Amino acid sequence: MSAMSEDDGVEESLFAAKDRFFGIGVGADVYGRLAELRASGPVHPGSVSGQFGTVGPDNFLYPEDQQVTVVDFDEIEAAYRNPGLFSSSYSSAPLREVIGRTILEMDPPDHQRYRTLLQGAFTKKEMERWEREFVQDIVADALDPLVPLGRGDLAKDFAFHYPITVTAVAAGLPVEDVPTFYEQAMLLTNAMFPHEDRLRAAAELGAMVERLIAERRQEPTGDLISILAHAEIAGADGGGTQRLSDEEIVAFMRLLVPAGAQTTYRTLTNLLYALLTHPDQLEALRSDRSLVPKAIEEGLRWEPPLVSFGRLATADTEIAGCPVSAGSAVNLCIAAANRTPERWSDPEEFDITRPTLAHMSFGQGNHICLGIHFARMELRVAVEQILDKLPGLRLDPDCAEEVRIDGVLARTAVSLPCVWDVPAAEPVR
Amino acid sequence: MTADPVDGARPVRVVVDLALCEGNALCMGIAPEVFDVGEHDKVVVLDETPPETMRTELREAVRSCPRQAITLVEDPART
Repeated sequence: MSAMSEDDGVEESLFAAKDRFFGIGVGADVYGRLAELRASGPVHPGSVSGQFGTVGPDNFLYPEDQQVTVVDFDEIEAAYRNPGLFSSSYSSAPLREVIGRTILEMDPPDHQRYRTLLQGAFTKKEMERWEREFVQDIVADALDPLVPLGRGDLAKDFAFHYPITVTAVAAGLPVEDVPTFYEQAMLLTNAMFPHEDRLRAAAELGAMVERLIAERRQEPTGDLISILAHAEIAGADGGGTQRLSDEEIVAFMRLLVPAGAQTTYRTLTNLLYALLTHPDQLEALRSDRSLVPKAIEEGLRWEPPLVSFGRLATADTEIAGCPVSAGSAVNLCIAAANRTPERWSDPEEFDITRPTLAHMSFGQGNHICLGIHFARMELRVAVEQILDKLPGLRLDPDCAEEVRIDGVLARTAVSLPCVWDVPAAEPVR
Repeated sequence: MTADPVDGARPVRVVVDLALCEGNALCMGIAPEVFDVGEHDKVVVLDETPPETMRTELREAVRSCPRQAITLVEDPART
């Protein structure tokens, strides 16, 4: 049962289709296979999905025999830091035609000009303002109705819903448009859906955002669309300044749902799964809230929302001695890097008390996640409210359904049936 | 990894290139005693000459900076 409105059904079925495309439901032993791959060499022929015998966005878009999968932390880090040789134009094929050209597919020098402009909207300080002005309230609105029930599914009834609302409100979309916004974003970011449906969704979302841009150019309100409409960027020739066009702002907004809302949803379900299956660590977190940031980073390391991210080789080269030909897709396997035994002791274990070392879940180098402070803040607010409002939180012992984190290219605990203690109601006087 | 120009035994000073810094705060996550993110979303070095016991964390902060804005230099004042 959902805590939200009835029309959630449409969005959820679109989302389920996208999940299947990312290998959720396959039940693959992802980390067992990645450990085997890591032990047998740093680079392997084929896509990530190919290592599991599945079809996903990677081998749907690029031929299996023209790609490699890198599983070694140092090689992955080096590749992320070498955009001249490993180009982000990988993301053009799946997204350019329907979303438009965004920072995701840019290389230097264009990338840095856009990054500088967008960075101002996602700073740590700006996230403190978002938290105060609307994130705390949106999280409370999603969680509070569940509290008196004493049981619920924290993935389906909570984690699925709040990031999309936060993202839409931050952008400046009217709350009543959130379901439409979500449905269109789902359609246009899934390469499996019919092309004409995706183009129609792109056009409708574009028209919605363009109306808002026109309003915000007249009268800025402090939301993301206002900031982007008024931000200035150094000109390509180094002289003068230019602004983002409507088309560029629309493209960025189309990217926000998959990049911002879905990753946060997946990350939170994975972190909650980790805590619910390690009750001693959940208890430690309850008694020492200063551990929350460490728990979030450890959750991101242990089960990142995205297993891999792609680049295209711009020239014939080699990685760790393995030849890679120009034009090959290079899959940088974040999930494999995050469990490197040379870097973390007992890497397969979830342990919120381990020393903090940088993981690969936000990427690395010039494209490191623009929403790094946004994600951390949204996750922290959700975890803190859960700890505050759901005493005695545990997995539902009466639930027969198997609870697990699943997926080949994206990882999510799609269902987290839980129970918690309901405080006795105050006597009415 | 590239060779560390500063060997483990000598005191170091933490230097940040603020023109490169984007305030991603990975350094702050690794060594909050040394790095913070300030008003203008650039790193603030809280302790420019951290104790030698922090050398492992400092190297990790240098390595993990997405912009490679942090360097450790020998601190002649303390050698």
